Amino acid sequence: MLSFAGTLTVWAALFGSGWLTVTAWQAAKRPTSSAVPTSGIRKPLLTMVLAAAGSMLILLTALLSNDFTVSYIANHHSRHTPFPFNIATAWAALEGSIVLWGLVLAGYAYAVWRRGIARQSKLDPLDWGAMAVIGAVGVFFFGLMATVGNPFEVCVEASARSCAVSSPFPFSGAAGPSDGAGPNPLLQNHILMAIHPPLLYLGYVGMTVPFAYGISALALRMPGRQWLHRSGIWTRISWVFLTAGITLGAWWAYEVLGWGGYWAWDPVENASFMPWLVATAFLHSSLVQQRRGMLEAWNFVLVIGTFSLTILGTFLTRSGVIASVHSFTQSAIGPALLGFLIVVVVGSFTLFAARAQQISSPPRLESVASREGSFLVNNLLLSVYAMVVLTGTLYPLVLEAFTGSEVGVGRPFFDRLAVPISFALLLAMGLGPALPWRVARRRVVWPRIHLPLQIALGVGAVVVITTSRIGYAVGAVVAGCWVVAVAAHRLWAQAHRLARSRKAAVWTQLRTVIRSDRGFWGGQLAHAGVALAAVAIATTSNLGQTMDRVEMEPGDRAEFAGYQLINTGITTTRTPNRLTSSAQVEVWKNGEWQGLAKPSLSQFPTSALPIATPGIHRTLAEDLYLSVTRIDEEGITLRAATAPLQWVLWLGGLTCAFGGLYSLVGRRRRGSRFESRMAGSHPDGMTE
Amino acid sequence: MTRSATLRRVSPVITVVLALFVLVSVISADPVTDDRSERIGNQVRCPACEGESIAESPSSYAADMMTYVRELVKQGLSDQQVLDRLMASYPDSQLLDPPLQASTVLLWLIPLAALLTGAGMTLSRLRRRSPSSSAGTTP
Repeated sequence: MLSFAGTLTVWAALFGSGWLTVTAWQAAKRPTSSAVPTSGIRKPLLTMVLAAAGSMLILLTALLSNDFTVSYIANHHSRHTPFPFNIATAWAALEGSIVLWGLVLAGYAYAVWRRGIARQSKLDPLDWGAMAVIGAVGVFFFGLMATVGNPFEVCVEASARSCAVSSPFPFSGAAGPSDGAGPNPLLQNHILMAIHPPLLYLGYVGMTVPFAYGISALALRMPGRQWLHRSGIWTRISWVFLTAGITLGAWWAYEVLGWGGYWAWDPVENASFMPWLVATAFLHSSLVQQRRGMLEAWNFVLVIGTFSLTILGTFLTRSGVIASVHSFTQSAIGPALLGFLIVVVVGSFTLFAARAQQISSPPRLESVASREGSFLVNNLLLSVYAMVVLTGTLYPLVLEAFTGSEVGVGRPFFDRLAVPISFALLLAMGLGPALPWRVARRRVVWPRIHLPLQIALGVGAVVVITTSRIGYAVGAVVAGCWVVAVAAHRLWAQAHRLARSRKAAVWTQLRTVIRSDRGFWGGQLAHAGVALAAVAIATTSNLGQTMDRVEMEPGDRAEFAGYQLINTGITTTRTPNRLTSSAQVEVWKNGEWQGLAKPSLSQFPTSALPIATPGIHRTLAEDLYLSVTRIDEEGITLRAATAPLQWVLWLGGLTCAFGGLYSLVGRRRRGSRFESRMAGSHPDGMTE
Repeated sequence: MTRSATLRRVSPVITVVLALFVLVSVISADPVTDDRSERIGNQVRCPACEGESIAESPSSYAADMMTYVRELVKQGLSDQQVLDRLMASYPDSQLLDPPLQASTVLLWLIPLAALLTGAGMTLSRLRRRSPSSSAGTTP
């Protein structure tokens, strides 16, 4: 029954998105399309949105009612999967994740439409064209659900804890198993797993909107700044979600995977990082076009690149191509995604090339030493960064596919190239905001950067003197301080100037300054987040200590990094879906009680290997990360590591996302009174 | 007034001294890990896990390989000798850091080409434009 209803919603969504594409495109092409009433696409749009929501609701209903006749439920759910992981199962596996994709896309389509109405009560051709592109992307994903990635297939032959044979015809005789295997144990081990994928998808799918506006502008021969103004808010929203999603993904890996790290440069992580890099470049270069009219063509390249990378990422993570280049044809979803990727890349760039004549970029870079010059450097660095990650991720796959020879590309390769690029980015990130637009003169710039430079170097010197074995991490500390100090100095200087003219105390004006230009200060906050993250990455990877596996019988002590660890025994808890053995490890430092860490191993009925969960003892200075590889009556095998300032990394990532959010909530309206008042009172204004 | 003038003159000197101090301490910093076995282990991919090195991975397979690496290091073999022996004993393992050879040339060339192309495009744009538009503004 649910299979039938689900299949119906999928086809309805497919129909709705096709209808939306056609209607919106016709309206866009009509010479007087601004006269087309906005309600013209209400029906197809609502069909798509409601049907997409319906398919997700039906999937959730099937999960919550343990309907194992739906083969997706039989294969990925179990009666004993606890809340909230039973809900999260809806997107934990391939077919379900496409349902979420479709729902998010429909949600964005609806939001774009509402915003268009709110803005001017009518959509103009640019909006219509964008709606048509969003609809077309919807056709692909709902088409995927209707054919090769059907989440509502009926199970017609059950095996022990899964579905052996399934049928796409909803009226086939259903024969589900009495219980299913449940989701991948790794995915039901931590609450972050329920939060991080939806956030990531909100970021990933959201990048469809700026792409749709870009394609619309190209197709309708409307290059210029308009499409950037329209899509800016959606780029930022998606970027905020993507940033938060990546941060929480790294956090999840740290809390669950048990090897003490958070980033392994594995293809799944890279798949989320590449669009982030290019989207970040786009956020900056679109500012240059809006302020100075430059980089018009480049912005099209970046927006197409961002969207293509989200599709590439979906292909990499969802087709099984990473496990083996030869396995991705086992399901038709892999080739379908690859085909769509090729269509997107080839189609978009062909359109771009065909319109290149009409895209003009006024030749006005007067000096690299200027705000726009620093944005150019930023774009160069971010693009090369993305290229490094892309090459390193795809190289083994492509090489194996074409020559059959295998080559591993891992952390040493990525680190060697990513670390210097990141340092250059940090230096540019500090310098850029201090530079005025057009041409920077030394007497303007030097006072803005001199004190911050001294502060950063001073902090570095203090750290070197007071901390032993700081090593290379001091470079990150100096660079991070530099970024934050420049921004703080600018803030103080502007508040100071404002305070003098208003005869008020400086600190009372800080808020006024920050509120006057939320775009700029939100950006600075995001920069500070990146700086924090950089410092934490340097300290955790350079200053952490590790202790190799130690066998500990009950009552044994071990000394590690100033801690005394005592194995006091094992507790075993049994829940319906797992058997968990936790080692009770007392943590002492210099004879003082610190706490009890409980690294554990969980045995799931459906998985041969036990899943390790680390026990983490957190302090402000560092995390003590304990994991076990063996627990039995004779004792445990313990592995320990320290991660100095680990929490700063999560703080940095979330600060970065929050900075983006701040620039968004108070986006000033163009030509606001306040902006012009501020422009007169700070030096940026003089260079305009 | 004179004090602030002195300060202004001394200030750049302070900056340079601080910069030199930090720079020297970074350059003379010890390598990240003084444990040679761990450094070697970081370069080898754990065959049983995805993308992790044998030094990072908590799996017992990786633990066996690390034990072997430690043994070889204790015998006094050089880094390369240890890696060769390890590859011979565990044929399904891979280096995470691909050596420069015919099949990996592109891996290094592509990022380099991207950097050069991008830098070239930026600079060419600048040079072509600068004489006409900024003649009067550059100090």
